[in-house]
Amino acid sequence: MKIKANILKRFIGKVTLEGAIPTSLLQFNEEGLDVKLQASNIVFCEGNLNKGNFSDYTAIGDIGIKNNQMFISLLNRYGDRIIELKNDANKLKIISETGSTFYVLCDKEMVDNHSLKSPNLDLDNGFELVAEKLDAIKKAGEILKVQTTTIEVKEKNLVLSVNNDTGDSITEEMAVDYKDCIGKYGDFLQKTISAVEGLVSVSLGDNYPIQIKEVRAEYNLKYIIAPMVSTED
Amino acid sequence: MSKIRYIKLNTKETEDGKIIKLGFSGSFEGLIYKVTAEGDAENIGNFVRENKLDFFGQTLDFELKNTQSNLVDFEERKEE
Repeated sequence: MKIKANILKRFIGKVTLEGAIPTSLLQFNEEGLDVKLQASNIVFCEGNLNKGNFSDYTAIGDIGIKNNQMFISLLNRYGDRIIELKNDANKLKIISETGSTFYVLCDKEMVDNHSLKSPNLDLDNGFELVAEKLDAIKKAGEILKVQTTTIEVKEKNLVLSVNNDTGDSITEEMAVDYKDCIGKYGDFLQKTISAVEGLVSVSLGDNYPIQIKEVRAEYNLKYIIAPMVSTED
Repeated sequence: MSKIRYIKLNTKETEDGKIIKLGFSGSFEGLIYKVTAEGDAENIGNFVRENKLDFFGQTLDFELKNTQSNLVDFEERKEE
């Protein structure tokens, strides 16, 4: 089967949070490429790249990736060229007009970050916003050198905020049609914000995991991140 | 009492799943500190509260403000 290398690289980058989640099991099923990942039970990432992105698509089964960052870099070498993928005796053969790569696969059991299923949580359909709004607060956090972001909805007003120990704070606000709630999320939220783009849906609760979904014709992605919880009082 | 405003816990597990090392990074009065502690810590939260950590030779009392939760706890809570 064949695919443009940059399409596969972009999808793998998104679902692995650019390799922050180190290992993955790529499941080439009848409907396309499925990936379910978790890291320390703090973050869950699920993605599907539909088979329409491939030509001569073949459900070749499970491919164990031992180092997502390296795999992304390997795909990046091919730019926007078309590559052919073959599972050849526990090696993934990537073939292009300019040469080939043999990437040694790992056994399923070695994929520490594979998740069998999505966490069973009470998450509703949420509200929609453009990812650039989230990116603005991520960049604010980088300026203040903080990794925790507070997300609050109060009286239909969304407030994204970061603040540091010395009292500096930055907020981003917008109107949303959603219930009152508040949660704090750590650096996996920032990594997720880096991964998503365009219109996304967000759902959360009071001190409850947050879900961010990006749904496109070519792929869909879902991220669930556990909150930071206060131990005060 | 001094306050740590943010703390991130990294754990390394042995093959049988027992946690033997805890890595801490956090901020204290605007500065980022990193320490590594060894010990049995089934309940990381209690371990952190009950032990005074040694930051570069200076032992500090601290109050933990935020800790990272995990998705499994929320699933179990829903099942209950």
